[in-house]
Amino acid sequence: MSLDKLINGCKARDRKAQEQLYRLFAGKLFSICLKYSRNKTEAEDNLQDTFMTVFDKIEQYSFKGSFEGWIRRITVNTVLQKYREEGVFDIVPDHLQEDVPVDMDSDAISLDYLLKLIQELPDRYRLVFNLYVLDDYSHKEIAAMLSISEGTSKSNLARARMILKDRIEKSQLKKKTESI
Amino acid sequence: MSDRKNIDRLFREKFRYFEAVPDAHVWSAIEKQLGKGKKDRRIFPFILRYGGIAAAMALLITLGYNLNPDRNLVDPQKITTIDTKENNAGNVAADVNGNIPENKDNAVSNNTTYIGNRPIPVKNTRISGDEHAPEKLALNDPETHAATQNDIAQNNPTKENTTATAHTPVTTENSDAVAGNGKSLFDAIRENNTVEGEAVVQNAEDKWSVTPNAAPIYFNSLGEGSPINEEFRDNSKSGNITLSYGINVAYQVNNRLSVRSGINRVSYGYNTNNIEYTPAGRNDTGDIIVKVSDASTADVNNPPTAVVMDKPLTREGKMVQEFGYLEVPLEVKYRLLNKKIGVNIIGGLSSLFLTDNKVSVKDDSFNTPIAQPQNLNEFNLSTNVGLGIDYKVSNEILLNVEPMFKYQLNTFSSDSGGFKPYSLGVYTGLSFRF
Repeated sequence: MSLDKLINGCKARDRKAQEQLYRLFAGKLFSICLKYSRNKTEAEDNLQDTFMTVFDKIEQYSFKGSFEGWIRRITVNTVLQKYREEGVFDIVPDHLQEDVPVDMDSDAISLDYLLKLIQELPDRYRLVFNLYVLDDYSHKEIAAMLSISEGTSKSNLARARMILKDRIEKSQLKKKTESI
Repeated sequence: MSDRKNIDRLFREKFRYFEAVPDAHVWSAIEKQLGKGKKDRRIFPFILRYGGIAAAMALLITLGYNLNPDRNLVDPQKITTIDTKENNAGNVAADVNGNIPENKDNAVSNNTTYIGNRPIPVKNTRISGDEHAPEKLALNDPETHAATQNDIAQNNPTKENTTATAHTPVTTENSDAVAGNGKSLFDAIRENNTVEGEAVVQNAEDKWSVTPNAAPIYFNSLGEGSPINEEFRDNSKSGNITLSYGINVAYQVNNRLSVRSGINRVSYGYNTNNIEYTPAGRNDTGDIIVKVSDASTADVNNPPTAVVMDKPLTREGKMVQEFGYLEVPLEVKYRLLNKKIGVNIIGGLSSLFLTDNKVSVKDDSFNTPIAQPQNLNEFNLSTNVGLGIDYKVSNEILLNVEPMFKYQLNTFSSDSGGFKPYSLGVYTGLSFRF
């Protein structure tokens, strides 16, 4: 079935079409949820909320623009909305830092490990890091989405980088010492 | 070996093709949440859509003079064209460091009629907090992709070791292992849509159209017999060409099917040939009389003289029956070819309401109406079948030419001895979509 037919099926609230749409996009959207959430359970909740929103709002989708882009935006917004409600977006002032090089053996770093590192970041740093580094939003857009200033966005990003770098290098060190 | 790498780049690269499949209970929860109170809305449009199509299809099938019952209504060519186009199974080789070349759209579109093909990276099916398990997979990390499914319902990503050459052969039902051919899945689907024809993407608003039309109509009979009198059964009949004009309104059910109705004013005429007719007035004694007068001197003061005719005056000519209806058609139009010039097949029924009826005798000199025969039914039905050709003048305007064959079911009230009337018309009109 073509995507357009699926979308029309979902507009008609056809359960089969909804399920197939879920199966088609769950992989991509769940990965987004995992990046932005603190852990797997929270990610699952966010995914569920995301799809409820998608199925609800799909009647507004008028086939203009990429469907995948549309649902990705919904996903990110759903997660951010959750954090907004929790009051995560408080001002955390900080000094500016550029992108930092990190000493490590990139072959030995697995995605699962990096995901864990991201999830363990403080909420706001995680959100900013994801939005900027992994989802290519600009600081201006991030500032609007999180209701913070651009400066805050930049400093949060810098902080996130620092923390990640530290943790990666520490783990590398740990490995090196363990292998001795 | 360590290489300095920016944090950003590290994360970007690792996460580029990150996908993770959620556990089954997530969908169950969604399904449950959806289940509350949505059933009604789901069924009604379903019935409307499929019931409408089923009724229209039944209509087409029951017509006796279907054009080509075996016609394959779906053009499979379009699907296969896309298949072969997308069939480039290119394997993406990873370089020594396990980095794949910068190819952003390294997604799948092998068979675009199945949108289930999508890349699922090998390692991301289990998110565990355990660092060691992921490390093991990391050693084999090829960062290439495998198409694992051609059916949406099958959602099991294959998790396997990759070979040293960084090829990932995957046994799937879809025998082509694709690693990317420079096109993302949705570009291909969009392409699929445009190949199917411009009319595929249709705004919700453009479903109605109005078509004024006019047609020359040729009327005749499929059998012998005469509806006027049995005596004329064996006379030859010939058809007349008359004019029909009217207006139709059509509703587009989906991309290919539309339903239409309307009102037409249609008149038919046919001739019963080789007849003789005579005036039949008689005097008291039974002789036929005519009133004769000198054409040059006839006036009020000179009344005509009645004379007895020696032999009856007969004329030869034809008997013409002309009758008119108000026609209300209900037809279904199925689009076979959907380009700037479209081809459709049309089928349906018309209700015919008699509006006038006269018979006259005609020869070369004059035309004498005679008494109205009572042989026509007030209400008549015809089954209609035809071909439609239309030309897209603009997005909103179509020029239609539709030859139609309409077989009448109930024209004559008395036994007409085998007279089976039909009409052939070429309906031309201009459709305005709104």
